Amino acid sequence: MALTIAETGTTIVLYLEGRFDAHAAPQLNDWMKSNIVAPAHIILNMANVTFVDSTALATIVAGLKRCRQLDGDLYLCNLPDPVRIIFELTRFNRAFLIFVDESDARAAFEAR
Amino acid sequence: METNETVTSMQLKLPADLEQIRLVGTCISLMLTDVCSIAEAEVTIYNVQLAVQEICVNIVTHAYEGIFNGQIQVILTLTKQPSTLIIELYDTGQPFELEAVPLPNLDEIGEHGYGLFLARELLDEVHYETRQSGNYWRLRKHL
Repeated sequence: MALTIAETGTTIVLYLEGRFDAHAAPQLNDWMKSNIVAPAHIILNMANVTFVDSTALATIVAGLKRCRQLDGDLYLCNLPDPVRIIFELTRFNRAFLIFVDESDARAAFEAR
Repeated sequence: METNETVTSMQLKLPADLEQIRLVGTCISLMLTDVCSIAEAEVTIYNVQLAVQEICVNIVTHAYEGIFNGQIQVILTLTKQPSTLIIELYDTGQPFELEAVPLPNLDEIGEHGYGLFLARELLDEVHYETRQSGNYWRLRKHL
């Protein structure tokens, strides 16, 4: 999995690419442990993710909890259809704010 | 790969390693893409890959916890009438208590317990048994 980070103002966008699974999840987990600080406005752009398993989902949930502890949030955008279906099956779609594209997610942070 | 009119089968033996188990998903994709036409193929193949990934991760992280050089033997069998994919997994790690695994509470967001839940939701059968030679999983998906 490739992880690219872009910071604009107080918002950090994480671009994940490739397979995000139990083998790759520690990479994102390590980044989140070291780099999520207030105001913790994180966007996870999943446009180029090809696979997500439950270990990866747990990593995203841990990131969401950390962001909210810091009065921020973790937004998701550009979910591929099979990934979106897994979010619905686990009902994680109720816990996250999920946007069609990155500009909508950015606008939501700007409106906070 | 052996192919005849009714059955295609594939066997592989992998190190019990979180990186190596990705090969199982690749084989499932090749098998289902080449051999039969499936409704909503992209989602169906993804779902089967995910379910099998969850069981393989379980084997690596729980059955072989603290055990080095473990292996997973995988047998994929595709039958055409009815069109079904059967995935059999063998390991020699610690036994697993399938019925002791609680379902996640879907009304609360959690970080654990989703692997087996997903496998059960996405497949038509998730069977586990402890054998004298080790652990045996049989997973079935009607296509």
